[in-house]
Amino acid sequence: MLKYSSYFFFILVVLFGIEMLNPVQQHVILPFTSFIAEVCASILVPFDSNVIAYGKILQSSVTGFAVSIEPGCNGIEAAIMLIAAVVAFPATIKQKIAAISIGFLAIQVANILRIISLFYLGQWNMDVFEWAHLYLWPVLIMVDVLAVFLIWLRVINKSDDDGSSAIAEVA
Amino acid sequence: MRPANLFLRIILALIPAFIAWWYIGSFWLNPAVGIADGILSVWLPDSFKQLQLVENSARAVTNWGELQGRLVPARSAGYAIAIDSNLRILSYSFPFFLALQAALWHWRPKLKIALALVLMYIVMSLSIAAVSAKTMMVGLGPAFSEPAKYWFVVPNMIALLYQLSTLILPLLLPAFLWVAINQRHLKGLFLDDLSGRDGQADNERRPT
Repeated sequence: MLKYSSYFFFILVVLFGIEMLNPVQQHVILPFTSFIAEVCASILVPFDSNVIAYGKILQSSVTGFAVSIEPGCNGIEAAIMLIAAVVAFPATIKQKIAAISIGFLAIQVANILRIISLFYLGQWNMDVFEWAHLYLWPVLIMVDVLAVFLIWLRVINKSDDDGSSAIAEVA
Repeated sequence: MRPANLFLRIILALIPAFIAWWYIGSFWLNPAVGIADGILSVWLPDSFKQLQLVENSARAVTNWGELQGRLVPARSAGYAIAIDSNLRILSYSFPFFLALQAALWHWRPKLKIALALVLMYIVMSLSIAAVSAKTMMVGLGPAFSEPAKYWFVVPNMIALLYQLSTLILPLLLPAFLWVAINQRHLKGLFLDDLSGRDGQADNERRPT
């Protein structure tokens, strides 16, 4: 466990440090954040014609309420935690790539749900919006990360004839 | 236990844990604010005067005030600028951890759970210092002069610590410690039943 933890935290800090670099923020994180806003808008507009999207901002043309999707609200940190957990774990490259790909998708689906729910919660009640934004949704997204990781452990052990080998290596 | 059952239990356990956390108040944050106060006194000797717990916020009292639109030393201004930071964005890691434990309803070994809570508390104290440092750096602007004077104050490091303290640690630490403490138990729940061992054992225990 100690070896796994050290490896995990090392990868985490390196990835987080890379994410914070200005060129990475400018050329990767900000465009990705805008892309997430566009995806949210493309989901919302067919159902709600009052939604306006520009850049990383979603706005209601009726209430004027807007949400700006900032770095830190794009699910990247959650993805970094999952990537560090998967990469540090003893598994094949193929299994790791599968976990990271599916996990990233699962995190982004949860994040899009989060943004859409916050967009409507904010128009309804700011206290509830703040509560959901600051405390509830971050925890739910972390539970999503945990779910992907633990289910992945289950899957890779299922595909392995020696059922308990992978976790035993970590222990 | 099927994974879906465990995660449903986690979601359900979050409800009472967060309600309790919301209504329990902030008295238990006092020692953490005290630790952060000690750290900030050493870390930012020129800008920082005192850290106080005010409801659920850490109020950083600075050595600066404002006079005719300009930042001047607090003594000249006659008052000190204080900047609040919301501590709930850090302390919610505790109800999260307790909800994870409650979902498993496996409270052993108690010593490890207690140590995990102590570790989380220490990390939260350090996080309070990082968050307060960042709010002072942003709030005071050019008057935040430590970076120019002390080698151990680097603005980018304060920004990085703030991001780490708010975006990663409050979520990662409870989840990581939960997995670490309950490793064997989770292994039993998630993996042993794949080979039917756990399922058979459960069936044997279950009254018919």
